[in-house]
Amino acid sequence: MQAVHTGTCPLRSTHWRSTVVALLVMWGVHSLPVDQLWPVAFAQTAGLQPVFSIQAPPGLVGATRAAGPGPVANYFQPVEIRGPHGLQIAFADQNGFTEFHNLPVTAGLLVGRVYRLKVAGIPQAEGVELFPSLEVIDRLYPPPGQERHFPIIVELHPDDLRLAMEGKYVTRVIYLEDPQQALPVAEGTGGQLWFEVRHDQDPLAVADALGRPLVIVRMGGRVPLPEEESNPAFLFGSPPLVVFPPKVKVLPGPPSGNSPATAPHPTPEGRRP
Amino acid sequence: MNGSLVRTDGETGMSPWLRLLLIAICTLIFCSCKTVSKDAAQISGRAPLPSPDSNPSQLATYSGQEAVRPVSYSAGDVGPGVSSNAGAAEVSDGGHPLMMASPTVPPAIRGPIYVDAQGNVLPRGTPPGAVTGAWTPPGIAAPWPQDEFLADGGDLPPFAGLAENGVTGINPEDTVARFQTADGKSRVQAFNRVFIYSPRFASVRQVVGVQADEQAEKVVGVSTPTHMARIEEVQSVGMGTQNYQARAGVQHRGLAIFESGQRDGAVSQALGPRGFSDAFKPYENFSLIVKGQMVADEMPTLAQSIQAAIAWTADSQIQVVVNGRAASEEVGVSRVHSLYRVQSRYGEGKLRLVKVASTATALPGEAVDFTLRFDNVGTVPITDLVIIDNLSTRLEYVDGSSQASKGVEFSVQRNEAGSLTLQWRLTEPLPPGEGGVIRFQCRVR
Repeated sequence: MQAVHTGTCPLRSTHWRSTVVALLVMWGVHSLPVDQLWPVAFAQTAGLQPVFSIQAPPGLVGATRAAGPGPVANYFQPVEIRGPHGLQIAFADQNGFTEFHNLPVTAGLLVGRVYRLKVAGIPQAEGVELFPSLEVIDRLYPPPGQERHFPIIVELHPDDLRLAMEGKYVTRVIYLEDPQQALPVAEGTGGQLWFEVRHDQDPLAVADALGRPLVIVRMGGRVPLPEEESNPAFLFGSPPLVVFPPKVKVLPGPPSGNSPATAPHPTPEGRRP
Repeated sequence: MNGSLVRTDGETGMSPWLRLLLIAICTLIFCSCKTVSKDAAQISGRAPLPSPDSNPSQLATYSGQEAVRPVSYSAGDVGPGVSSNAGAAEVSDGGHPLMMASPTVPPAIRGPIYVDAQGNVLPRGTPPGAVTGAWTPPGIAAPWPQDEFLADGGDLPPFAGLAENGVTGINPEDTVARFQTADGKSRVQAFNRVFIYSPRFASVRQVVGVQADEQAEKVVGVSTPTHMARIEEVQSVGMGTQNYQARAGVQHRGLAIFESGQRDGAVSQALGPRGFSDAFKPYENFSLIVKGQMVADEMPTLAQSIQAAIAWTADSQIQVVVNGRAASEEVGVSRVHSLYRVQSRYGEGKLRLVKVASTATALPGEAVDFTLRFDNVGTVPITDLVIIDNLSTRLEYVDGSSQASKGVEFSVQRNEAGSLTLQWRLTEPLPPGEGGVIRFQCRVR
């Protein structure tokens, strides 16, 4: 059986032309240097922290920043974790958690990664453990050699621990104060200054308005099941970290020349001017 | 009727072979994996990250760019023996990564681990002696980023100006001097800016739960974004005075007189120990501070502390408003001081101002000493000299720490930002060739 097409088809001649045009357009869009345009778009907001919602999944804000310009990726940002006396923390390891560290402890954490912590030794709640997460979303640029002297300070407040044990979900965004907007008050014995926002406000946006957000701490009261403690999803992949040795305060030596026993040893270069 | 479709309209259609060729070409293009080349990434401004398989030298170079500094030890991996091993000793990690790493994470930087002369474990793959400096974005000099530095000095917009009862436009961080020359005219000029690395952290907390609304009622201090300092920045209408500065073409002509001013200098006898509890401090050990004499050898060292500040304050450093018009200034952007010249028929009054800080870095709670040096390098006395330092909110003046080598009336007032304004008024005229030093201490909040 043969079907004979006897009628005219005016659109027939434009079919293949439109197909060619569509294919050319698709090829052009495909060949756009999108990866090159992205830094240009980011550079227009250079110096500003892109505002994300705190509702974003853990790791999204930091990963976006780590993929941005500057030496942010693969940088171990020193972070000093403080807390009330007796509090201990352990970092996520591939098999669970490391040994507990007494606070304060300073660790180098990768920007853009999320670290799961295990908190124990909570005052007036011995035996209770919490599992907050800590996400570093930006880094500092101290003078060379001063990196460890100026870590990001993260404080685990007793009030936050108490609220988490009561079932609340506490989100704390640590930010670098804009010196032009800094409050004329000193850090007292209560630790660093902080504000509280309503539940319908975004703490990340508020912190971005007050300075430069650096760390997001999320803390809840949920305790993982025993088999969950080694779950990579729960441990956020156990990112690498570096735990720095505790600071040792070097006391000044006795004044030279008081006694022969305390006299300084002569230097190889001889007497100093 | 063999089942084939035959066109009989005689229309010019695409050849089946051409159609197949077109589809093949498009398929080939779409199937090709397009990636950004290394060169393209560099052109776009992003430094290419080293691949995990890079050799140690490449990784060390990259580490130098990003200033990855000593990442020290992981418990059990680096023991005392390692930390005491000075020099360029290579640390064996025993085939175990130094970091508490998981194999599921992105690969860490590979390479040997070195220890520097101080016993610090360098980042993996960074050999000792590798140049590691602070990274700054292209085209921007240090100090960067500015929000990590505490600034004091200079004259931020709106700029300081004369008023009936004193000086207006004194913002937080400003340090200016007002004086009167022999012709009876008052002048206002600014000191240089000093930057101290002192980041301070704060936090924002949000608690959600069943009683979230009750928690929201505890909101305090959310009005901080409307801080006065930010509002004053917006009101930077003082820039209008900058236009007058361009017509001060005599600035170039005054350089010759500037040389003569250097010839006189300020004698050290003028810096009697009046009001000073001790001698000059180590950070003040510059001839420019101690004797008021400029020594070329000291300029690079002295410039270190504020060289970066010049980059940030180039706009504001040369603004001097004298009764609504610009005074000719004889300071270049590479100078570490501010020198102003005022010509009149009575003579020439020139005041040189220098400000230095005792440290370049400070943690909250630490004390920082500031030293202000002023010299009359002109030919006529300067009267009614008033030096004003409006402290930023991060600096808290230490009571009783003000010292001056000249007779001054010192006063403290609270400014609108909640900090303090320090003011020194010289009780006696400042003759030509003489100068003085003011020193005070602040505690970093």
